[in-house]
Formats: sequence, structure tokens, C-alpha cells
Amino acid sequence: MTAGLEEPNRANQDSGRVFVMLGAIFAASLFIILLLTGQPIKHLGNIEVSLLYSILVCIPVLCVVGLSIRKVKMGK
Amino acid sequence: MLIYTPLIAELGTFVLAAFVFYGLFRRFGTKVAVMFILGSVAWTTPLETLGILTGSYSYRGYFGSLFPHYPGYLVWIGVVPLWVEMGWFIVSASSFVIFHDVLLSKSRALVVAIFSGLFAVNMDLLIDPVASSNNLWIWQGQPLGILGIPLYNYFGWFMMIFAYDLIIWHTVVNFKSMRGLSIIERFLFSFKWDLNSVADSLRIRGFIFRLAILEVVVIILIKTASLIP
Repeated sequence: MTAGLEEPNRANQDSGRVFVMLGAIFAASLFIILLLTGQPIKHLGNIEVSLLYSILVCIPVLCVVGLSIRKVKMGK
Repeated sequence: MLIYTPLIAELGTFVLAAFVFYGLFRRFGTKVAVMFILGSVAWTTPLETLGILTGSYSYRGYFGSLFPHYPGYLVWIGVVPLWVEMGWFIVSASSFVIFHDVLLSKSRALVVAIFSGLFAVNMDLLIDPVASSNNLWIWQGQPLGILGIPLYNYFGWFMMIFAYDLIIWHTVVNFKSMRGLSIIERFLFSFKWDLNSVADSLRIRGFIFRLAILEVVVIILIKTASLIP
């Protein structure tokens, strides 16, 4: 798949995939931490509603990343 | 706690970017990882700079917050905080791996890039409202769309991730011709695309060319979208 480039071994590739995919979850977590330690989202009013919005928006991200990690762990 | 918000965002993003870079290095090796992260900076800097210079948004919400003349963030690329570009790198790398490498590895590159773009928009539905509500960046004088964020911002995220995904797939991970660019590339470059083995210099030349030409196209599209009321 990587034309003319070095190919790391399979175990390294799988762990690399998981590392990168987890980046999306951790990035979402970072912004939820910023929300909890800072101001609620404008137009949503209070922190509870903002947190609910954040969790709802994160659900598709969690599902996609979770499915991907499962697929990698099952050896695709 | 509020004055530490930019520090948490900046340092947290740097740590995550290093984590994702390490994952790319393990998955694809050094060259792809380095080209991916440097390409992300080269790809986002012109558009971000244009957005700031044209007054669409500002990163000066925390100017002077820690000490007099503190610029708001620690590391800048011109007028753009580096952590913003690293955040973009995290989203683009994770969407690339999720869809190209795992979930849709047997699908057409164009279809995969569309899913990557949509995933990025989904991520930005969280990132942008939280960041702008906490003054990490400030939208200025724009018609407000979703939760105070102009709608064209989401179009911009989609286009940027979509195009970058295609460039990385066709140029860095593989070395393939891109439909629409192949005629001009055949005219400009003496080398052939669709090769199994490629010299680094050719790959870098192709990468820079495609980044530059598609950057112009994407900027025109996003700026046009921003004019729609």
C-alpha cells in the first residue's frame, strides 16, 4: 500500500492505527475538559445543556472509533 | 481557572499531536508521518492566515492574559497559533486512518475522502462551539449559523479534510495520478505517476505541487461560500 516506502511490521501497524484513532477520542475529551473548566457554550445557556450537547455530538465519533478499533483487534 | 484555558488547550493539543504522530510513525513509517504533519501545517497556514487578515476571526482573545504583551499562545506560525494547526493534524490523521486504513479500505478514494470530511465536520461540531465560547478564537462580524459558528466554517472543514485526504492518499501513501490534475501534471512534470517505487524528491515535488494547486481551489470555494448570506 505504501508505494516505495518502508513498511513497518504488522504488530506495529496495528498499534499505530489504534494510537492515531484514539487521537480523535482524546481530542474530543480535551474539549469537553475545556468546557467543564471554562464557559458553557454560547446560545445553550448552562453547563449541563452544553455537556449534553457535547456528549450527543461525540456519540458518532465514539461509535466510529470503537468500530474501527474492534476491526483492527479482530485482524480486519 | 479561566486564564489557564489557552494553556490547557495548547499544551494538551501538542501532547495529543505527538501521540498521533507516533501512531502514524508506527503505522506508515517515518517519511509518511513527517510528510503528513508538515503537510498539515503547510495546508492550513494559508487559509488560517487569510481568515485572520480578512477579519473573519481572531486568536487574540487571551492577549495579555498571563503577563503584559503575552500573545495569547506560546507558539505561532506567523499570525496562526501552532496548536490550531496541530488540532487540525489530529483530526485529519485520525479520519484518514479510520476510513482509508480500517473501515473503508476497499472503497474508492473519493468515497473514503467524503466520509473523512463528514467525520471532521462531526468533530468540529464539538470543537468550534466550545473553543469560541471560551474565546480560544473569536468569530467576528459573520452571520451566525450553528451555535454562533458561521455555516461556511463547516463547509470549510469538510473541503479541507476531503482535499487533504485525497492528496495524502494519492501522493504520500501511494503515488497515483489524480483525476482533474493529470493533464496539467503531465504537462508540468517529466516524471510518471502510478509508480510502485518513487524517489523521495519526486514524491516531495508532487506533494508540494498538489498542496499548492488544491489550496487555491479550496480557498476560492470556501471564500465563495462565506459570501452566501
